[in-house]
Amino acid sequence: MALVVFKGRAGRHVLVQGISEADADAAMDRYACGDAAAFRVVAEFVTPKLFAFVRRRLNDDATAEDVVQQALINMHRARGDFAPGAKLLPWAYSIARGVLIDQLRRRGRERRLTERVLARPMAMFATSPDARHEANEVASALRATYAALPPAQRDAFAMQQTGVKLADAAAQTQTTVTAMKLRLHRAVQRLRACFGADDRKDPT
Amino acid sequence: MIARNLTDAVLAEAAASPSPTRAQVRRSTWLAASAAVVCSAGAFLVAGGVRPTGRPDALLAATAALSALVALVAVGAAMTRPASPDGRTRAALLAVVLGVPAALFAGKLLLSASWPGMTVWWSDRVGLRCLGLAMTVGAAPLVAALWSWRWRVVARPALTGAALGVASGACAWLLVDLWCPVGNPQHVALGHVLPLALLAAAGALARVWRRS
Repeated sequence: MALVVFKGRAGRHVLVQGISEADADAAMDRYACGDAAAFRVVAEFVTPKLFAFVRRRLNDDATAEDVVQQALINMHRARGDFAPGAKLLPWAYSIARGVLIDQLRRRGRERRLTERVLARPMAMFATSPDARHEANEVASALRATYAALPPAQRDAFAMQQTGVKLADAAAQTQTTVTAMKLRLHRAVQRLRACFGADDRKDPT
Repeated sequence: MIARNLTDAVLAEAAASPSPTRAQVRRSTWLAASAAVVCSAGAFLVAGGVRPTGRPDALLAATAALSALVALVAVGAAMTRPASPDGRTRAALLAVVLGVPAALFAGKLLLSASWPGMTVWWSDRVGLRCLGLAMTVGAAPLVAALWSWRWRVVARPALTGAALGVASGACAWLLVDLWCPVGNPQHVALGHVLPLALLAAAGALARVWRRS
């Protein structure tokens, strides 16, 4: 038994009791057979590994935690399919990779949709060459600002643009409605600044 | 305490929504497979069962043997548990999705062409009845396979679903081949090959929808 360091959200470090791979394989086998208590051993063994694996690809701790959580739930759902004598880690990585791919696809879709929404007013009001030029500049600034938003604010804005309710968005990102409102407010403030129409100071 | 919180949240979720154990999955898979066999065999018998209708016994036996062999290979490749946790490789799945219909089509035509008069066009048998029977007979194994695989993790869901559809269609092909005496290429393409494509599309859509 060894101790491993797990770096969680906001840089906090948590010590988790280390578990050998053979113990974890056996625990998953027991869990597949119906031993409910064995899932804690499985979850504690794979969580830091999956988190490191996912965070390397997402570079966003909050989303990485969401992905790991969903991967663990998928492992629970698919436990009956865990082959006798199989290795836990390749199976867990395979499940996490699937959730990660879905997350990246969803993020890409949201980003494309938001970019279309942001670009639409520019195209609608740009009637003369000068106006079109100015609109293009504002659109470029909007795109750059949007890309530079912190991931949490960008996700909040993207979810709002795609019609997700604040309560649902908060549940999805495992935060409070107030925090979601704040993220959204900050994102909108920064984007508004691109128009030069809002000179209020960015709260961040 | 993020790790602890995350683990606790997952454990709470797991306790709130129990998932089937290995023994339950095995039992439900056998039940689903048995139900699929009964449904498919029932539909086949209701439609009339084995109908030689002027076909030589040797041709009937040869096409049935070939269909059974290909169906066995397709089921083995698409429906059994793969060694890798990611599921079958893209190449293996593509081989099933493209190779099985091609092998069945080519085998049926070549064998029919080996006997005189077995590839003639039947004006009253365009292939729609075979299409209907193949879809009816093939739907049950596909639904059973998709249901049994509903929690199985695969890296290529669409291709895996398509392979399940083709394997189901190959099983249906065997029964439809025993029922239908027509070996004309157009009829076989519409009534026998098209159902495989439709079942493959249904399987792919179902797996993609299940994942999203």
